[in-house]
Amino acid sequence: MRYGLILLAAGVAVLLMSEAGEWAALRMLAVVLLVGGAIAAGIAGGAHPQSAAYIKRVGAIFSRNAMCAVAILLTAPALAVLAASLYGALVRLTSSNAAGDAPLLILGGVVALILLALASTVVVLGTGAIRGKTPQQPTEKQA
Amino acid sequence: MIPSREIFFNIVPAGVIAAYVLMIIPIGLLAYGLARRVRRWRLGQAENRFDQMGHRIWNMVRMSVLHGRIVRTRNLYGGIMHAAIFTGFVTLLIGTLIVMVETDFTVPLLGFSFFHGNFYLGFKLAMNVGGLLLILGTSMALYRRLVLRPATQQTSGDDLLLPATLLILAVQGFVQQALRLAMTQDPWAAWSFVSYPVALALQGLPMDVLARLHQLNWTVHLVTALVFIGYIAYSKMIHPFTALANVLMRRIRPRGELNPIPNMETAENFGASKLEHFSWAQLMSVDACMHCGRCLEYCPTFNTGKALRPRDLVLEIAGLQADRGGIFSGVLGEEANTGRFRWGRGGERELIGGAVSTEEIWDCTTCGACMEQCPVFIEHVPLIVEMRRNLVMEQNSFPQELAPIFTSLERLGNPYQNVPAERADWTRKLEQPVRQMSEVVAAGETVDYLFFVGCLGSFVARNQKVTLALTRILQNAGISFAILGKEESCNGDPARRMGHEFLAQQLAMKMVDKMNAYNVKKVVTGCAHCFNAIKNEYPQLGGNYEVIHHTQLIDELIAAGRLTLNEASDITQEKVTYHDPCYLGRYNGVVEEPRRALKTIPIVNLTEMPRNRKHSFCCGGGGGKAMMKDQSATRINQTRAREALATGASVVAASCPFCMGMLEDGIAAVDEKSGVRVLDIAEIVASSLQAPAVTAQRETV
Ligand code: SF4
Ligand code: SF4
Repeated sequence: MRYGLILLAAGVAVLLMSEAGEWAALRMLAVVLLVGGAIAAGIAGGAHPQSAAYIKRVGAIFSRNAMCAVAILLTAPALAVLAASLYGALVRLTSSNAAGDAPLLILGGVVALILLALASTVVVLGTGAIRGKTPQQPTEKQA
Repeated sequence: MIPSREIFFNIVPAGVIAAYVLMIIPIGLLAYGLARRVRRWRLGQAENRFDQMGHRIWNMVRMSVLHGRIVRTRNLYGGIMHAAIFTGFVTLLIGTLIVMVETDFTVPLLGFSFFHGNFYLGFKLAMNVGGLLLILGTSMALYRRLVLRPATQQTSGDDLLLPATLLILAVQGFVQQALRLAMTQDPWAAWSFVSYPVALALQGLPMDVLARLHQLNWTVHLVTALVFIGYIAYSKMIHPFTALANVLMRRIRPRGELNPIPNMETAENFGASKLEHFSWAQLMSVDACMHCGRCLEYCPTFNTGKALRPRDLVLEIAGLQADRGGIFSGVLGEEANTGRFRWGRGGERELIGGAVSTEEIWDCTTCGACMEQCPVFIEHVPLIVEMRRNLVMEQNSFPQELAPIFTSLERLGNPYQNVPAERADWTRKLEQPVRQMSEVVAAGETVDYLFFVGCLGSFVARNQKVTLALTRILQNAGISFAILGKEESCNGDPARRMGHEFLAQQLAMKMVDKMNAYNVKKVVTGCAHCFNAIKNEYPQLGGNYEVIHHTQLIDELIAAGRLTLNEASDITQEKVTYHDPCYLGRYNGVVEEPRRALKTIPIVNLTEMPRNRKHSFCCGGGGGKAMMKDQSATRINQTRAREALATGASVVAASCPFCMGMLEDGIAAVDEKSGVRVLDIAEIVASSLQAPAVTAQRETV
């Protein structure tokens, strides 16, 4: 664990140096140190007898509702942008100066609509799954 | 102007630093989860799976990376779905790494940039195709889970969360690109053919709103990706690691060969009653399962509503292992359906009776349909046999009807309480005598083939008819052969698959000693189980022979013109369907020879059952099940009999005495008046034989 933490600390330091001093050349070294440190710490943690209990305790902090809220927050911006583009396509199509772009705007609206529909569906499904709701196969009837 | 774009466009330096620093959390969690699993696997028994590395790597590339085992004719939907997700995901991953290499390595360290010009345009195109494939594949996965809902799939939260997260990641990616294109008015925007029209629609928004949205979406896209990476080791998404490892490390032995218990005299335990009793490779294999349910498709126990479902068996063992290792996981059912972490049911459970029920363990016919189907080469039968071994050899716990079978095998060398001295009594019905190996050797002569008759063919009246028919064929073709007679005993297969490894090795060793003493080189068998055991398992005990099944030999003899068939035979006028025995077709790939033999009989009308060849449906008799009671409402042999009857055939051709008995019973139970007969291919061919052309002359096939 100690080596992992040293690598991580070194990685953060090198990263800060590379950004502050505009020494972009150091960034690769920082990435290597950070990834190496994370892996080393993870492996060392895996060998720790109490680690499973700690992780379980940390896992228990997150309630299902909190995780649903996180899922919604993470997807909301994309949904909002897609809704905005759908609206934008409609507005531009109904304005007088869109004639040349009309086919592409229609296509844009269709793409946005499909992505919006898919993303909203999976948000509903995903939050349902987080809350323990999954479709039960009616009988798992035999093939 | 050279086509290119600014990397980390519109992202403040603090955001870039945060991205790199935050990355360590999910990578650490992934490493932790993998390390915990590897520690569990290492508790297993030693087994060498590091030989033939070149072959193993090529096999892994062919079967998994190139999808040879995943896209199969009978699993096209699932195969295409997986190929789309895999290709899309890998393309996007490579794309992300390319950007990282350009920005963190080649430019700052080497002063060299490649992210422009045609490369950049191709990159844009590839990323859009990759994103679309990912959306297509994940949508197909969700459609199957939610709408198609095949009987073989049971959906846990994990099964929904993973495609949902991947789909959201792809959508966020397209949104991010559309926002950037809308802000920069990129002249090469059309190369991003999915995001470009969306970007056009966004161009009406004020620039500062676009910029804010761009930064916000970048942040949530990053966090979603990090959450996804962190979740990998605690979900079935671990399978890119475990499945590849399992395919790489799979057992490169004939599938019909079970590993023996090494050093039986000094072994401290027999079989598996604890996870640690499995080999490390077996413990790894259960973690490779991704709940696809393919193993259920042709499983006779699943398809007749029994307790054993091979997927669930694997997940039960994997769930126990995850609980013991402190990895959140579980079995299919309520706990796994939480969709949060896959909590198990407690690591203190026993393997047998706790995680896996004895009913499941004894349900299996060892037909191998699950292993034939599993895309990641999980081997269910060896797992089950290990647990049977423990039940039989350590706990003395097995279905009560097996007690007299074991005793008979031990004392008399056959499962049916027949006297060994009567083993060759069937030969009395022959006009032309059959020689015994002891006589041949005593006379200082040799024969080309040892005909290994088997217990059913020797003692059971119905199967004796097949033995007689086969003998007539061999004699008709002028084959030089002999039998072991009363020196023959059971080959050990039923005892082995019922878990009595000690008895199995004893029986097999006796036969190997005898056959080696007689310097046997070639063996022809009249039974698929004898064939599999002598061909695939006797080499473990020093018995190396060229083994041929009687249908293969008949096929060869017909092709060589050594059997002349009569067009006037009554049987050959009928519609015939052929049932593939699991231990011949699925385990040993002998599927065409029996059919060729049947087809060469004049006027035979061969029709196939829907489940045939390697996808045949078991008769229910393997793994010792022919000797156990099937109390369930739906019998396996009756299910197969119905399938055979539905073809309209009046003859069901068999090539294994166990299948013959099971099918005859099944047909009698389903439709006694059908008049459908079960005949061995040897009987069908023998009934069509013309008078022997040359019988005296000895020839070698
Ligand atoms: S071997 Fe056959 S019966 Fe046993 S689990 Fe596999 S498919 Fe089912
Ligand atoms: S055992 Fe194999 S076939 Fe069965 S569900 Fe798991 S991965 Fe799929």
